[in-house]
Amino acid sequence: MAVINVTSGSQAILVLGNTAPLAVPGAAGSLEVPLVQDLTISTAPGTVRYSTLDSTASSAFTTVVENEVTFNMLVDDDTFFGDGANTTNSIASDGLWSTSNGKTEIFFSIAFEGTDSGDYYLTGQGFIGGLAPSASIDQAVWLSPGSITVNGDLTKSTVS
Amino acid sequence: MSKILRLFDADGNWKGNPDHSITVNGVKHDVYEYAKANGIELPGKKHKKAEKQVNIDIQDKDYADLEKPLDSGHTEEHGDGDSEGSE
Repeated sequence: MAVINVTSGSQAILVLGNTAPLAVPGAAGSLEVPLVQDLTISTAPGTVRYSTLDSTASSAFTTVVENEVTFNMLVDDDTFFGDGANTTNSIASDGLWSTSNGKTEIFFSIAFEGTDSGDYYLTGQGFIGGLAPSASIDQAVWLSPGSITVNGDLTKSTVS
Repeated sequence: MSKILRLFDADGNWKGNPDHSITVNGVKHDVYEYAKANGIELPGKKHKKAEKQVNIDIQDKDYADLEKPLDSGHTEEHGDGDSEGSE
């Protein structure tokens, strides 16, 4: 039992790929999104509440789980607009903006502990959205939020 | 608990890379050599040395027939050697 201290700078990682193997943390050709400031994984089971005349409290049952990943990042030019040098991963070569604009489904993983063997990560697939880059004189770098609307389940896995 | 133990299932079977390699701080190792060097006890059978087995159930049998003198090796013939029976 131990807390996961992410201050080493190489543990909480968002990885994107156009195939599942390319989205594994540490995989050759994967797109490791740089300059991420914060990362949030939201998993929310849907619920339906109902009340009956024979009970003083409402009851509930679950429906489906809605998963989403949200993040804030400083805009990296290659990551945002594409890096043609990466010919194996179309998400990397197209960039976040074109991938979002093209509504291309991506595979992703979120490393919790880094890329060493045995490190835990969550993986899934979905659509990039929520990009809203902004800059100002006081805020002298481009910042953008982003999100991944998850299509299906998030799956726990370990780096092999 | 070492993280590499997560790469074994509940039955002690390896579920990592087929070549049993692991990556630690960006460096590849063989999992069994790494575990041995770092004093990590792995589940499963492959890494365990086979224990020397002593079968204590074996009892000395009485090989009395071996103490008899060997026969001459001749086959004793019976009858006249004619395979056709007399009628």
